[in-house]
Amino acid sequence: MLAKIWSCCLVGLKPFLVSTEVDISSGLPAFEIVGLADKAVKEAKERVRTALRNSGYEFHYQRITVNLAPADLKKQGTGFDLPIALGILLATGQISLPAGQNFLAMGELSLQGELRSIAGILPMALICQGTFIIPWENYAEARLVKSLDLWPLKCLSDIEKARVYPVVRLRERERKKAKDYNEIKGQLQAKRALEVAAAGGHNLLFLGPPGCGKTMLAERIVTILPCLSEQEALEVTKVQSIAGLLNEQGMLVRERPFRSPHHTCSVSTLLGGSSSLKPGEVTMAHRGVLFLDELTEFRRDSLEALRQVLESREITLTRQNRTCIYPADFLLLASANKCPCGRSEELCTCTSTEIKRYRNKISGPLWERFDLRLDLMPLNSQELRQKKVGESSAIIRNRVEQAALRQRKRFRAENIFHNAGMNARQVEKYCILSPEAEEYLTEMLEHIQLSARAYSRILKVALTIADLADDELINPYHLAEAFHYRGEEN
Amino acid sequence: MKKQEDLYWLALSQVKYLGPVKCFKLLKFFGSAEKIWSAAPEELKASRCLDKPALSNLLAVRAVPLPEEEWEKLRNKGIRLLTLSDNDYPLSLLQMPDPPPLLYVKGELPEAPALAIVGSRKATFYGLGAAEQLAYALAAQGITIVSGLARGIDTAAHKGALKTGKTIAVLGCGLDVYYPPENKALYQLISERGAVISEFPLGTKPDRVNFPRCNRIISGLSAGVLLVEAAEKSGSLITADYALEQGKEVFAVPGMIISRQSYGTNRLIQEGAKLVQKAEDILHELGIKKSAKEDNVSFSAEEKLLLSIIFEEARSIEELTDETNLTLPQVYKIIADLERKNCLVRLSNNKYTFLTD
Repeated sequence: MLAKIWSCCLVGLKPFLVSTEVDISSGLPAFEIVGLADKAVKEAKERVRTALRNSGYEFHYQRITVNLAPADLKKQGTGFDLPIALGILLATGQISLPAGQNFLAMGELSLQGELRSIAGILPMALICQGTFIIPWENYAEARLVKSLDLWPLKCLSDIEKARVYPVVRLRERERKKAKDYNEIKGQLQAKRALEVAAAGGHNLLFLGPPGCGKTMLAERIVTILPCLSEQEALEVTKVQSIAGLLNEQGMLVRERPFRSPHHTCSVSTLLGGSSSLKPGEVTMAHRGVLFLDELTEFRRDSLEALRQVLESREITLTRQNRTCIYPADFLLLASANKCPCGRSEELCTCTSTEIKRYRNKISGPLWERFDLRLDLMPLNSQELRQKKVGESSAIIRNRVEQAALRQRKRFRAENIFHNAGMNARQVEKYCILSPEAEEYLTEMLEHIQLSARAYSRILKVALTIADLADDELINPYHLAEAFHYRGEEN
Repeated sequence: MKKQEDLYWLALSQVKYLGPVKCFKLLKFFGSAEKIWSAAPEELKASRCLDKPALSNLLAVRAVPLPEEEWEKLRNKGIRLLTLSDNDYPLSLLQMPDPPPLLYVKGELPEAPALAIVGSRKATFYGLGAAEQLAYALAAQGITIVSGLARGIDTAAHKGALKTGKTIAVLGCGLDVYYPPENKALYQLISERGAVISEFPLGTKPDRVNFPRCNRIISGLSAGVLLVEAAEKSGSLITADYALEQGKEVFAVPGMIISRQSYGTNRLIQEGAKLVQKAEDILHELGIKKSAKEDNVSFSAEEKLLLSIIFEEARSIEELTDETNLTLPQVYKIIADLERKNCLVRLSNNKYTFLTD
């Protein structure tokens, strides 16, 4: 007897339908799985056999052949337990499914016959046409795909009972302990720079000794970033789904991700890869923020590879004969010391060559990717004791949203979303200076020599600042502020 | 005529064991490079200017043809030779016991009172600001600023001077070697609006032994030497030593007592160098009257407000925003304007302080 049921396999974020064919024939008892199955899929044999028996079904000691087609696609993960078990039950006639319908099944089995949740249900649900048989715990997540026929199972034998659906309590996503910019004393300049970065998608580099609160400042940037659009939210949720980071509340992720990998991380942690083509930090930070603390301590090859990702906003991973493309459109926040010893200039003992070598760890082209660079200093005792409360994140966010809206309108006809993404032609077209600003810029350029790159960077930043102020034209104040963020050349 | 004499000097400069001191003595004895070149060995011996190795080397070099090719190469690169035989050889250098027999010059050597500004390669914001500001103010008074085109203070001094006047860069390497590489653009600017000079032949690599030699020229060309920041064992202190030897004024900009970068300068002040707070301090000492043409800088009300606060004590941008009820962008603008007017300098703790005369 032959039975067939659909299953699914992910390459990167991209789901592929896999046909699970089960054939039971007479012969010496055997259980074979063919079709480029990895270790976890091969192990399904043991789980399926035991789970079937413990669920009260009969496991036939005959020749069982399972084929996962297309046979050239590498299958991985434990999600194939359920389709294989169902295939066996169908092939032996122990159960039957309504005819004329497509069934897609994914889930891991316990030895008892209970179903366990698996990662990546959301992208799989997106290609399902027909009924999707899933573990009970994955129900909420799969439900995000509207008008999809779902069949959640608690245990294998539920397949014969009437369908029951779990009640999804749509309570607000448990808010993480609300962080807010008004908790941070002082550091006005840093907060403002973060606001500009958030509004225009500009990459930001903080330079300064340890203890300025760089991490505190950086991680709160998610509280002022514009809300995710429906489309973006789905993208973020998909990434978190395959990374297994999703909790079971069944809500789209509404908060932009904030990732801060440690500087000792490997290239494949940062960019994704390893043998199973897992998404890396750059993908997990998609539509959010990637914060690299101690930028200079990261491996040089990681940083160089990062450069290319910043440019293409996606990453192509290739391992053996598989290739997958992950999205990686993020805002890069970074911090670094000014010299190896990290002390203030008067007390610094580093030689100029040491400093040069240290700075050279960030290559020129990567340095150029930071539209905003700011020197930070730790607070002094007075500032630490002051009681004044700064602006709350909500107020800042309002301005950022407003600036984001302006940019969306401006770039309707273009293929970009942020001021930061403008090319030379677009800078020319959209960065319009008021007459006073033109004059001011001429004066400034007499005083400060700028490279062509630095020049266009300043105009882009000035445009974002104008957007934040809801001004049509760039005025001298916007320019002066943009000049302030230019920092030193590397 | 000039070419021929240049060629003899070029050839002489290739003689081993024949340094600036011996060259100078020979010239005093014989009168011109040509005569040195054509003098009989007995005459050379009789001059008592040369020891044995120098003499035998000189005789060996005289046997090969004159370095015409080198001279052509220099001409093609727009580099002029300034030799001891030239009338326009700087008089100030002739007062040294060891004037460089020939100088490679790119640009025009300005004929003005000159002051050397030197200091640490690894300067603080304060030092850089002070160097730039003082160079700016002094150059505006017609003083040529001499420095070594090194990183840090030297670079700041050249930049400040270029805004209002002339400057000379003395290199410790050949004129066709750009060192430090990031100063290539500055090198070009100086050669257009002042002069870049070196006593080392083309192709000489920057070597640590070259720099003390170039320090003696920096101090030699100048009426005084101003040290802006120098650590305990800084190369710029060598320049100060040369200045003392040559009987020049030594000036120093004071710094915080805890600052490593100011240890050397503070020590110099302790030992009697003149403390400099503003350009007048130097003009007064060199006996130069401050010219009447003062570019009158005017300040807006907001700028005055900010300056009045900063005048009390250095402030950070956050503090300024706090104390003035101005918004952050407004403060940024005013700070940028004041920086452009050369009134402000940023210290390394990100605070701004007042700097003007």
